[in-house]
Amino acid sequence: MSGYVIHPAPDLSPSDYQRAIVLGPSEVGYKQSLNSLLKDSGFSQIHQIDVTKSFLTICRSIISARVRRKEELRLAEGEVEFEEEQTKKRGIAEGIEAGLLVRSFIVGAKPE
Amino acid sequence: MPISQNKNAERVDFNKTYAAPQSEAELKVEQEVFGMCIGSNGYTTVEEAEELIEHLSLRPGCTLLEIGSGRGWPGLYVTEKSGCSTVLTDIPVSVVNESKQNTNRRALTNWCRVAATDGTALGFRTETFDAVVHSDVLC
Repeated sequence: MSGYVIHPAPDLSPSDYQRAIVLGPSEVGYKQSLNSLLKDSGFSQIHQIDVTKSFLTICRSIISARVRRKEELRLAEGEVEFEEEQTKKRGIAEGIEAGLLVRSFIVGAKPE
Repeated sequence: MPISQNKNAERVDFNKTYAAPQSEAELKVEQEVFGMCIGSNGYTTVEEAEELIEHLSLRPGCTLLEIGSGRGWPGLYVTEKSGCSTVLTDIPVSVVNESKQNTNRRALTNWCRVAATDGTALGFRTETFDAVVHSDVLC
């Protein structure tokens, strides 16, 4: 099993954890830790690599590209929806920059 | 926003996210950011999709399950590049239909199947898959 996971940074204070949840994508904030999720699915984690730097780069690129194409996007998505999406993306970037949100590459394996 | 795992609320959110097919403008944004039109709704780059192939040693003959496949990124790319057989799964029927259209468009129907199902209650027999991928799903 292999994949990418966005999650709150480890060892956050309760208030920072809450802020990470608010700023992160809507799926962030599962009450179980990543390791216990993997364990419950029968996997053991064998590899975890921090890919937050690339996550921030992509996030910033999306925000900038959307700003450059804002007229087209506003027509396609609607004015309010465009602004909501930009606010959401900016929040994610803010969360990463503040060290609250991280993205990890995870490799897990099931016992033979 | 409360820390909540209300499944109905999540599904409403998913349906909002995938309410409409990608517009031309969104595809242009993707082209600019990722270097190709990939049908993405996340942050996985082409290089990261290739990491999945490498780490799972995907090749022809392997059977792959993608959980939360969205419109088919990165599952369709991984299938195309590795030659494995893939089942793409997600919850909203609208996005599963989109991933099916993308499978047809990329001539991958011999390698890819799609299913509307919840990753927490998959209806597949054990040992069906050699590998599982997910991208910004388990958060």
